[in-house]
Amino acid sequence: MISAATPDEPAEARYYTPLEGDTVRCGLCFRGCLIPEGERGFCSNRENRGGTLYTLVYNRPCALQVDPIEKEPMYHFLPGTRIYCVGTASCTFTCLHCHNWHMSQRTVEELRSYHLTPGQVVDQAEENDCAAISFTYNEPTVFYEYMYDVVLEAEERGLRTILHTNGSMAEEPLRAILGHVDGVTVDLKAFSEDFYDEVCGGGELEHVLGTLRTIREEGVWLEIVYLVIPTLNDDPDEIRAMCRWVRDELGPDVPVHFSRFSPSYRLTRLSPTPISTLEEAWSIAREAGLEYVTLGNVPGHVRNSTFCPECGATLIDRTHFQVNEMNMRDGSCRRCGLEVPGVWE
Amino acid sequence: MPRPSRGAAGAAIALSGLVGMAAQIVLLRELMVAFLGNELIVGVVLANWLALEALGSLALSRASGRMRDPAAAFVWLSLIIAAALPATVFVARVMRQLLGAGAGQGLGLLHVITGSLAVLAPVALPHGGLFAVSCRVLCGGSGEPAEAGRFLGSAYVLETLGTMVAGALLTFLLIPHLDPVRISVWMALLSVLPCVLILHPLGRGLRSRPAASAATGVLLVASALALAAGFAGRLHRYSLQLRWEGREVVDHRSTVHGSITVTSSGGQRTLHYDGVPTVSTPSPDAVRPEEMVHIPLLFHPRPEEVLLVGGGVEGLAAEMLRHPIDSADWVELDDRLVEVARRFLPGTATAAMEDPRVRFIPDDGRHYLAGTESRYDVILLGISDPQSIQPNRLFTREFLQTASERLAPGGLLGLSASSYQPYMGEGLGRRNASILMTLREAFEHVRVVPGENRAVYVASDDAALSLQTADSLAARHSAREPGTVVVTPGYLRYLMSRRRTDRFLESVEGTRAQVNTDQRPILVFYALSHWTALFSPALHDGLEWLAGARPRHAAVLAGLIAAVFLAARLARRPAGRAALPLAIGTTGFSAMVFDLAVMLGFQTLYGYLYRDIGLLVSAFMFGSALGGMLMVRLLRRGGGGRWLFAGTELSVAGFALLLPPVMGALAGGTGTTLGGGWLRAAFVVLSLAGGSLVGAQFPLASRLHLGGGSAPGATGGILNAADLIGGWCGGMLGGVILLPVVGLRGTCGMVALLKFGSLAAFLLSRRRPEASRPPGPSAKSPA
Repeated sequence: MISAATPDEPAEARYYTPLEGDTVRCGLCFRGCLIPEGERGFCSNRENRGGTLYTLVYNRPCALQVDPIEKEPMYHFLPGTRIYCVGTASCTFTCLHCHNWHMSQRTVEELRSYHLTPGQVVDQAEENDCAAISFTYNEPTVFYEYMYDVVLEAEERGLRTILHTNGSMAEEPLRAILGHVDGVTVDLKAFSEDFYDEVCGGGELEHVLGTLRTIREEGVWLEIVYLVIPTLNDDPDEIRAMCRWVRDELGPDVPVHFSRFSPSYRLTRLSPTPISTLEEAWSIAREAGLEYVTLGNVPGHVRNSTFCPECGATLIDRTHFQVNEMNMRDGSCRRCGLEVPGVWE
Repeated sequence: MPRPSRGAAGAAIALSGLVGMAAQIVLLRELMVAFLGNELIVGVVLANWLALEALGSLALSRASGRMRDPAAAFVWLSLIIAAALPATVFVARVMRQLLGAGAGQGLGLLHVITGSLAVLAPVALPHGGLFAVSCRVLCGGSGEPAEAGRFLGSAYVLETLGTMVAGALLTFLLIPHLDPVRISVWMALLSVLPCVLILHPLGRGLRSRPAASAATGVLLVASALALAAGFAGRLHRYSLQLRWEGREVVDHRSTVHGSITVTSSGGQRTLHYDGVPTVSTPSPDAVRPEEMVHIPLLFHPRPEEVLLVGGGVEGLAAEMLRHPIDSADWVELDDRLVEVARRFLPGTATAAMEDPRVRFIPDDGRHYLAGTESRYDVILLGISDPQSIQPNRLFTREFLQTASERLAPGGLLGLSASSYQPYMGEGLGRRNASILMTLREAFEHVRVVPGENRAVYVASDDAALSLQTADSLAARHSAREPGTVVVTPGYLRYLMSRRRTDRFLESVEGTRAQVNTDQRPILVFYALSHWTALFSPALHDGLEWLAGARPRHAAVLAGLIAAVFLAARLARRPAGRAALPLAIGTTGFSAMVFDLAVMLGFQTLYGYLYRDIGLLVSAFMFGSALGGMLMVRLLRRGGGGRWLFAGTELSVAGFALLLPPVMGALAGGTGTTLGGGWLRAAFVVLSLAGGSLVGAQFPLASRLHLGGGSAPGATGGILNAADLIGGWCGGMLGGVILLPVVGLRGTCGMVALLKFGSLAAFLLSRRRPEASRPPGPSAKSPA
């Protein structure tokens, strides 16, 4: 069913502006790469051929996987279901701790890809009884056209779609896709420009914050994940400022997940995040007024579950990626009846 | 200028050999922690050391001839080493900050190369120069080739003996009892002592060389004070704190196997082994130990006797005890690790150590398993992803076959390797493919469960293994109630879904890989290649290219060498002068490969027994010194000439050809008489023989080179540099690429071909008439 990639005719990219000569400006992410003829943008997935910009990863995913939705993490969206995950080569960032570096820090030529049309992706998701398709692993912005067409196909066939992003997409394409997807998990990597610049390879916090506002404005389901890395983004003041910003700009009911760091990619020397640091972050977030705060990558920790901010009842009892029990009825707390925001059916 | 006595000069040379080796070991260990070492880093650091020594040797080989007072030069070089050594240990500890590497970031190969060059240079450069100068000191002004040749030979022998003593001294006395800073200050003191000997007789030396004498005095007092007043200890603690910026250093100790540091931060303690974070408390990682232990144990219907090899401190020991087993043997190579964990990280090892079912065995896993009479229901390998030959011995076909013989009927073995389920690239794919192929050669049935970040392999000769399903494992889980948080019935069904396993096998089997064997430990190369892909993508392609080297390339190279010398001879050009350094260089290369090959062979058969390895290295060096001494005696009796040299060349090549079959025979002999003294002795003899062949060449080459009209300092410097450069190539290529990729037989074949090439070059080089200079006045005037 799934075949290896063939040397496809690359598809023309969207969101770019032809400039003088054969140079183009890519308008897909915050970088706005100026791409001369024959060259590629920062992500190396988009190539200028004779003044036309092409995407090289259309129909060419390299990762196709069935996972629990909790793994994203996305906790207020059809808990306990499976999602069909799709990813390609490359990224808009070069984070030193990237967990998916095998794909995200490689060009399409360096990887083995499959050949799968948007229709076939939806077929696969249906065959595997998945509740949604997720664009994840690497930054979906770098395969925007492919993702967009899969989303439209899935929408037509009544299948939900979600994406896991670093928030680097430009506003115009972002709004366009938000019109069709059902949920977004955003990696908020830190709350300082320095971190984005030094650890993420020239990312921009301000742009990511803009993305978060846009998702909220468009009314698409949003969850935030903050990977707490010892000494790099674990300052309580930084976490407090972030939580207050989320409360004030996005609302207190946006779920925020604090994840435990473990050494990966090039950050191999740091210890895993102390549990006390994660618990402190949880307390800071709750004190700031955030209602749905959880801890991740700490299997067995009680804060891995979701609690009712009103009565304290366990709404969703989780261990790692597994949902053990749900105490909700029609999207509300079974005990006190509080309506819990999210996508429940 | 007053001249030092020959005895003083000889003692000084031996001490300089000792200090050099000690400095090399101490700095290598420090750099291993700075760079989170693996075999490649060891190779780079040692190679850089040799290259810098060669450079120093070459630079001073020319200058030494013109020196009016070589003894003073010797003193100054020794003083530079004495002052630089403690400073370089300090620099190695703050290396990451100096290189501008962000907190927690691993460093790439370019950083490793440049950083280690910067750390080693202040010691290795003057140390290399010291050899050329000491040749001059020992020979005096003797220009008489036969006599000077003998002196050069003696210098070589003395330095080698010093080196040998250093190895033993550090391994058995200094490293276990002193911190690296104190060792470096002791070595500084030992470096200053020869200066006192050289400046002897004191009165005259002081008067004629006041600056050198004053500097010697200052350094002598400073290093003695640093040791006596505890300043060295304070510097050690201060620099450790700098290295672990932002974390409190709770404990630090060196063992013969590596260095262990416990840091504390945010209420969490982390144990680092050679700089790598290994386990944290109070909340250690649960996913890895649970996957590695419970999946294999659940594949067995009733595990009663279990063996765990390594990884116990990381949570594996505690996890296996969650099953209703009768007894567990826990084998760990470095028992200090367990000791530190028990003391500083409660919860990791204490409970397991105190469980009456557990028998703790401090031993090398391979050594233990080869000799045990016990039979196990489950053998768990607690280490993964071998990056060097030492741990790789638990992943070879031969070891796995032994393990299968130690299983009780229906028994199984479990091991794991890093993987990444969403996308298995060439790097991880090839490693997993090799493990799968190797397991399939040793066992009838192999199952793989693709875990979160690792693949768990379970192998058995019992067909029951292939009948197990996620449901049967889930049922056992429910019956045994191990109280796991990650590996639950639901998780097992997720991991063992048909689709997930198929996708894993599909991506693994799509890569080209080879079986991992004792004589060709290919997994080590795959791991290092993967590491370069991570940290130095640009160098990764170069490494893969070098891995294409095969014996035929060595044949072409040997042919080219012969052709160049033939052309030079026909054209009556003096390319022949290069023949001796070429011979010494290729012999240096061979020596390094022999040393690595014998150690590889010994380790795979007997286990990583530090004392035995030390004995082998010492035997090799002693052989080298012995060969040198015998040759010096021969030279003294007027023997030695071109044909003898050609004979030594042939014997090195012959040794290379004999080594693989001899080691094969030794491997064959272990099955019946393992531990038999004669087999161990055979390895010692092999080391001695290899060393003495190599060692005999140096004095003879010196004699022939001097006969060509060179000054002693120049000859010593050039030949020493050639030896070191050869060793550099052998260290870089041999351990990292040739032995793992081409295997023992292919590598030794390449060595032999190379030696045939250098022999041809030597025979084709024109014989020069011996210089007939009258011996200098100093030749007769030993003080």
